[in-house]
Amino acid sequence: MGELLKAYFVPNGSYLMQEDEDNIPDPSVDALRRIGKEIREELKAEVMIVASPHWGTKSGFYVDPGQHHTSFTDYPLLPAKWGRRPFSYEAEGDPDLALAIVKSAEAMGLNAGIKTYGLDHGAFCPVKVMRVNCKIVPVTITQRPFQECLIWGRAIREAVEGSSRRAVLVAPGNLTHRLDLRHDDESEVYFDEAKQFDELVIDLVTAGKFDELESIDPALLKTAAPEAGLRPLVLIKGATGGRPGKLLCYHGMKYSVGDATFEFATGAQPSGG
Amino acid sequence: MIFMAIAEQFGSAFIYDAVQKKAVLWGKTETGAEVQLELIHRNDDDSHDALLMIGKNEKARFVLREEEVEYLHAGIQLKQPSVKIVVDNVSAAKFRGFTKGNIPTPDIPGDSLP
Repeated sequence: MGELLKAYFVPNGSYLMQEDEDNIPDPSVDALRRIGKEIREELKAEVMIVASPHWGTKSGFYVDPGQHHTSFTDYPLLPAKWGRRPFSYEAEGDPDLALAIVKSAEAMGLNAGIKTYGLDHGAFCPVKVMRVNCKIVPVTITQRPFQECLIWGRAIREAVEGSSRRAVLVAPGNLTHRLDLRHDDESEVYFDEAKQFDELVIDLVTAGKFDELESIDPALLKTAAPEAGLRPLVLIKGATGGRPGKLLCYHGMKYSVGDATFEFATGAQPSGG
Repeated sequence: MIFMAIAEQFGSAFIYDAVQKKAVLWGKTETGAEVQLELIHRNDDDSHDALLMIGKNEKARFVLREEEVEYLHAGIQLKQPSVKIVVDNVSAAKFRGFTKGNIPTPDIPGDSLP
């Protein structure tokens, strides 16, 4: 029987790859490297299911069943003001698990299917910084209602448990995500409402109060504009059963985004492979 | 030359404008005319309402579906309207992702995504 060993909510900004490559100190980069070491050496995961916050389909839930995945560059490139160098990534896929996820989701009543998509930066940026070497199954986060995203998480877990895989789930995203407020001086860019929003979400997630994410003040939610509308955390709740998250890192100022990193237990007992 | 000059500013021939909530691809026809393809709105079935301009003239308004785009060595081929757009591979790949549900980090940031 397969196991979903752990789930992670991690940042995915393209600047993390640049800082990693240039060895620029950043606590979020350090957290990603520690997670990668855990996945490689302790959990010994064979496959990582990655739900990019940038794969926002409206019609339903999709999985890329490819045997091999290549990345594409979906962030601003130089010479744009906050452009980055072009980075790339390749990984083996897991077609059998991908198709099992679709089957599981369909059985739970979701509109699910396959698309040949590849890896956008929301998926490959954190994975690249983690330096993991497992197979990857890209899945959508979608723009669907929370209740469906919750079921999507359950479907992913059920598919993993019905397989023989040792898997982890990575659902990247940022808390506050106001790229329009980026400023040349990074120390000045973070604003009070963003801090208030990030702290509220951190409190709710670390207390396991996922249901209260839906009742956050709409005005505060609009101001913070969290990436993928907090769906990554709803997906994680579905996959893990809603256990409280452990905050590994919070870095709330760079480029008007709340870089928070959480890990989530799933109830599976890591056996070390 | 206006379109391409704008593309050079962004480092890409395909950008997402989060203020206007639309994406724009700049390229050229096989005869060298400038092409601007705007994906104006993502529909509930993940198709896009699209506007094609060649030179400064509106050529067509249509619904773009992911399966109606062929990816070539040096560009893309739209099936209907039938137009080949010469564009670099990095921008074509970004465009391809967009037609399959990708929401890029915006080149022109707005107060929300998408």
